[in-house]
Amino acid sequence: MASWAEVELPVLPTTVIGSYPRPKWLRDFINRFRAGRVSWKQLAEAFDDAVVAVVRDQEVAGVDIPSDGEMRRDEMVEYFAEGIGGFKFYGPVRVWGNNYFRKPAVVSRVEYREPIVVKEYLHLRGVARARVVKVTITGPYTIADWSYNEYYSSKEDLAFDLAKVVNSEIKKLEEAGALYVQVDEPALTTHPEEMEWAVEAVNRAVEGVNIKVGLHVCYSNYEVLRPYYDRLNVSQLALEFANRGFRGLRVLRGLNKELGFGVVNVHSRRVETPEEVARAIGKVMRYVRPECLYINPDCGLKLLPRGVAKEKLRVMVEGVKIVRGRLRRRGIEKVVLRRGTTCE
Amino acid sequence: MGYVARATLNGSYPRYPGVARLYSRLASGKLSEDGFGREILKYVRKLFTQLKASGVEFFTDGMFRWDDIFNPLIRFVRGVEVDGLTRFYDNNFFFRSPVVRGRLGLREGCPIPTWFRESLRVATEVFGDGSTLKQPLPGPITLATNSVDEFYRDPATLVHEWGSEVLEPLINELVRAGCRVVELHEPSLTWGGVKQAVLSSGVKVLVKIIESVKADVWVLTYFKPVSRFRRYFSELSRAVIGVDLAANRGRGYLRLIKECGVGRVMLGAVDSRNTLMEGVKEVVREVRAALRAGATEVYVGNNAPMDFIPEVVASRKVKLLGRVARYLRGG
Ligand SMILES: [Zn+2]
Repeated sequence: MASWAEVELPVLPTTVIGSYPRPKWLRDFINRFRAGRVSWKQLAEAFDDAVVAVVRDQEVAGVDIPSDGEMRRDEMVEYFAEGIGGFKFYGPVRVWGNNYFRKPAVVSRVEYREPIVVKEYLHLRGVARARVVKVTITGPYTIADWSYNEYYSSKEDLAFDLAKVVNSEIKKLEEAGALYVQVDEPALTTHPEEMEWAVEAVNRAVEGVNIKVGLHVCYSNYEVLRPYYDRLNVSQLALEFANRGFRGLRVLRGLNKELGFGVVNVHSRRVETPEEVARAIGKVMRYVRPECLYINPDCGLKLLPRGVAKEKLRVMVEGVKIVRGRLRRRGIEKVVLRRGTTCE
Repeated sequence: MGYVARATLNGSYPRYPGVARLYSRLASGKLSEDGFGREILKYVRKLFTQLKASGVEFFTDGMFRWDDIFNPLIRFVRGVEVDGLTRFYDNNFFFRSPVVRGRLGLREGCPIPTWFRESLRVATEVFGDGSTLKQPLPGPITLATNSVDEFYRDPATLVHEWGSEVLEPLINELVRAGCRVVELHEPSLTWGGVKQAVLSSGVKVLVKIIESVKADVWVLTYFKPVSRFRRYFSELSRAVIGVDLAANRGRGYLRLIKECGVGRVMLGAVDSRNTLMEGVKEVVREVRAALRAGATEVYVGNNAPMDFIPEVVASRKVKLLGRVARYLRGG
């Protein structure tokens, strides 16, 4: 494995948050699997092939740090609950409109049984040309908040047991050679009164981990997050800003770590322009040094048509190139893959 | 002997898989609006049949035509544009929020009263006469606090206009369609963070609705303890007040009965945000505590909309409510 000092990236590394639209043929294949017409083994092969296709989309768009598009995951909590012991599924629950997810119920102590995403990582590393790839894991607080608790005396107790599980998984990824893991916590700020222990649960999940860990929090009140910048033991916060028209960037004042800056809106099919992206990056550089900036979409791209998702990534990279041109004139061209929890 | 407590289904019931399929067919153009309306009544009948078997005699039609407590109502309101997705309080559940861009007013031809009449016909067919179909609506405070106000720019005026220009005329139309009980969902009343001036005007708007409409009004709070806001409830004591017992564990809500003159209560005794099943005896104890405190009319129901749990669990919880009512009758 490469030693850490060697891992260099172009300034403003471009990446994704995680999910990417499943190819149409894969969706059809999954339906055939559900109808019992193809085997699990055949479906597993289809997932692997789909990863090749969507990693290629990201590479063609020019993304520096691709993910596997979360091809195997129907939903971010469901997927991990299935892999962790102690959960039960009663049926679908509506999230909005006619959209559902299978919300899990905790019915006994949660336990780490075996690696959940290590195989995904190894496959991704095998097919991606990039040296650094991103692996995403749903964080302990969000799994706890988006589950029914039938077993633990409090959500807090559940979250801390889940933190141990997530911690074991990240360590397995580290052993397997992963360089960059992102913990997804979209629920983190929804109950401000729980932030104190929620942040501790996230920290518990990354305890003793020596690789780069980012934390993604989206569609949230970042003012609630702000007092905890210091305390979060992660090297990056990946936040959504395009959806809010790049308003409220002032919340980044005092951020002492890297920012994964969301520059394209994943809830709109309108494709941004490279100039818009470059302008947004210009704006955020008033608060965050370019050496501490990664550029990504707001959130996972899975709800967009694949063509739109691909185009958004291409435009994002084009916008970054405009800014890189300016930075080159100032002699800023490279950054190292940072593991530490500060970047000021 | 009369009823000690009656079982009630409040607000929405989870969409049956068949209802979800109707929406998909509607979205893909395989089903017309009219066809959708006819098909949905089959599921309303299914729900009523299930409620009857469970012993629940106060109920809604499950709100299968609604996406959330605001939609589609806000589409039938002048001055409102329907915006992006917003989180529904602290739930992993999202609604399209109303953006107020002009003077509010109920549009001609709002279909909600017609839907009520259709559901009422089905209810009468299933139950005969001894049942009550309620119409759930968002309360004025909840409407105002979840609106993006780009027109009035004054929350007190906004809450007033939601009440007088939208809710009152709509409830009057519902009454003409045969509606006798209206549920006003008011999670914002006890959520916290709403300015006192807005709450005070909002409560006045509620009082005016309660006094002027020819329907019995239930004001349902949920997600939060009520005792901190108890002074507002003295003014609302004519209404049935809904209390979320999962959020009021210390029974502080009994102060509403003891100190604020609230006599009619809906105890949200089954938790629609958790799959864990309540026990009959545990709910019975809550009813008895309310009666001992001086409640004159007690309903037992779900604490909040049922969308947050899978249908199989909602069905079990509804059965439990019926068992509680039977137990208290000595049956
Ligand atoms: Zn996100």
